[in-house]
Amino acid sequence: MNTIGITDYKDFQELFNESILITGKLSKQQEEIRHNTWGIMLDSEFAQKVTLQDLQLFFKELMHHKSIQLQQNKYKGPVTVYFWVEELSGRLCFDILSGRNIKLPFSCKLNLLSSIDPILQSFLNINHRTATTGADIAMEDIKFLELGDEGFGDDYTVDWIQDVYVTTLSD
Amino acid sequence: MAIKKQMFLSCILLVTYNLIVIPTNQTSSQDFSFGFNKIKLVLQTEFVKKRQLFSEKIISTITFLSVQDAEKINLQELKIQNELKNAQDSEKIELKNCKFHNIVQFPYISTLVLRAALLDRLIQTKRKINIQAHRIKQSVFNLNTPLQAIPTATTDTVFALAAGAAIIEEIVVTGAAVATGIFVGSNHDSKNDSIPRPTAANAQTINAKIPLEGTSNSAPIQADGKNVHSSAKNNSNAAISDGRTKASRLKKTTSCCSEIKSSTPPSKTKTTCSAIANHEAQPACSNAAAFIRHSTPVSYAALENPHQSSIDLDVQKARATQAHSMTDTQEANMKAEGKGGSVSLDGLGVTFTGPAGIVAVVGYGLYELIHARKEFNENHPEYKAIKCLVKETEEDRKSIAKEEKEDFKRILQEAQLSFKKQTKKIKQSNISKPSNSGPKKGSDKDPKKDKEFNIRGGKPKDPKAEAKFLELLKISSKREALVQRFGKFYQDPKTNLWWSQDNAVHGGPHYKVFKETAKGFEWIFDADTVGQKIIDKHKGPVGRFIPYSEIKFLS
Repeated sequence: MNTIGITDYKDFQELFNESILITGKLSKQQEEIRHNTWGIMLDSEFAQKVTLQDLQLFFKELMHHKSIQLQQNKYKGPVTVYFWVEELSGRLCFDILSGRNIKLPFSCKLNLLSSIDPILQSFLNINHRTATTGADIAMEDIKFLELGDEGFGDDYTVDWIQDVYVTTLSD
Repeated sequence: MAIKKQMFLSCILLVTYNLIVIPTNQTSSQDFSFGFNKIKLVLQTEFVKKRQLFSEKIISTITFLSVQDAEKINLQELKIQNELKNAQDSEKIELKNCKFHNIVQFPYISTLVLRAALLDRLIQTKRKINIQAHRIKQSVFNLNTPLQAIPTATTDTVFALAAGAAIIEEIVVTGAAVATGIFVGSNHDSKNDSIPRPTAANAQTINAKIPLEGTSNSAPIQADGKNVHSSAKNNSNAAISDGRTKASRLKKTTSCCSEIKSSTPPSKTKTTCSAIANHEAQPACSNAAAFIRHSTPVSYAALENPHQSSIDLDVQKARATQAHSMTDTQEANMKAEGKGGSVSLDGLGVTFTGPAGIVAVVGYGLYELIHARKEFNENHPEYKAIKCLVKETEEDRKSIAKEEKEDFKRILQEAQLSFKKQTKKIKQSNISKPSNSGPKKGSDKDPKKDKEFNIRGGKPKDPKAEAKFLELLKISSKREALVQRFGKFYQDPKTNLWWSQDNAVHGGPHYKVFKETAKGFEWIFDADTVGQKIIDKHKGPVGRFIPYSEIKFLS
């Protein structure tokens, strides 16, 4: 995943013109993922300033620019764009893959959302919390285990459900 | 193989924190010989992947062989059949090439290696050994956090110290988390039959005297001459619990250094403790450590001084009483007061509090060790003293950090080489199959890049290597962190970075790698399933990013 650290509003613009790789082939989906997946991180100070409206605007702009990019490259097929928040790292992620109604490359269960807003709100909340606690995972949420402690060495699986917003940029 | 003598170690509880043995300068074994090199140690243990079981088992099956038999055994190439039988391929390799430093990467193999190396080192290095308590600040910090953060017992260290007490001329222990109390053996003289050899009954009594909370601490020790089934684990947990309670009550954060010297004449038993660092809390110094000459059955000192940074204590001046037998041990109660500090030597019934937690170490047996040491002392009066020096100065820290850094580089290189060899073998075995799936002509793939970043999701290219990496990660981790929402995190003991499997698994499995800070975990990068960092495009400065150059990898 490519990462961009946002310290100011203008930094968002860097994503608008970032190149997209659209192959139109399912077999090359991994290459598309590698090239087109972006994770947006907010600087802790900047995170305090950003509002939901800012992020909504960014989303609209991003979609607009990507549409233009696709048109300029004379790509005719549909493109799927999906957004999610990676809670472990506090990143707002998005990916662009060729095709419509494609199987998203997640291995966990997905909760498909009808609006981008919950994703953006979640991203904001996480960043606000991170700015407050000073860490992606606050110390009070962590239980340390050491040799001899109950549960040490045991497997602990989480049934993760990922919220995703999916949209399509059609031809 | 005839067993000449058997030794016993039991009821060993120690609260300390990730002790790592640092090699001292090697000297030729030619210029130094002493009685103890006639005894070598062979560890016979079942290979148990669950480390908590492993650590318990290994301590219960320590056997000393006779001189003749032991001399046939090269400690560096321990042939431990059970381990080799059960170990997986990679582990076998490591075991065969067991080197001292492998402890970092493969602790549960290395527990063996550590012990072997320890003994070997004791023989080769004029019985000097350095033990470093790691992550002092963290452990100190953790004491202020919920009780779960208290370090657990490290049997490796117990063994090292227990063995060391008998044969090591000098032990250097660094770190605030080190709070040790050691009792080794009795004042047995094999020629003196008036003092009984340690028995199960004695052990039981000793065990019962340890004031542990919330445990049935009187589990009998069966000294059948071969195996000792200790209740160390239960007691350890209880001790930890006790330590947590007390540490919590005290709510002190300290970093102590102490110097404990114990020489053959009891009158020279001396304990020094000085606090050199305070961490977000009132100055405090609490540490306990004790080594006592072999003829003293009780060895314990507890220091606690919240107001002064330095305590000098002469145990003898404080009318320390020494017991001379196991029975006497139970009644031994030594109390002393120093400059504002206090030492309580309550025989085996030690009540000990302090930020570093509770430590109650009761070693039982080691008869032969002690006897060997006695012999040695007679022949080498210059090495009579057992010195435990705990120091923590800025210079020490720097030098330790430097050593660690160099150490790490070497380990990293070794590990990388080993890993490359393994993956090469696996690749070769895969290549031998006729395949149509090779890179097509005109493919736009960058082979160099693919080699470097071979995992980007989809089906893993080398599932064996990936499984191994995860397994190694789990095994090598001495600390785990459980975050209910996200699952488990494993700490790489060398880099202190925390690794977690990704939950969403977008584009294929990978790891999230975090840095531990005082406030929690901070994500720093993603790594693929073989532990290589996924380096993609990165734009813009973000404070919590660590420069790539500063990142050390597990594999």
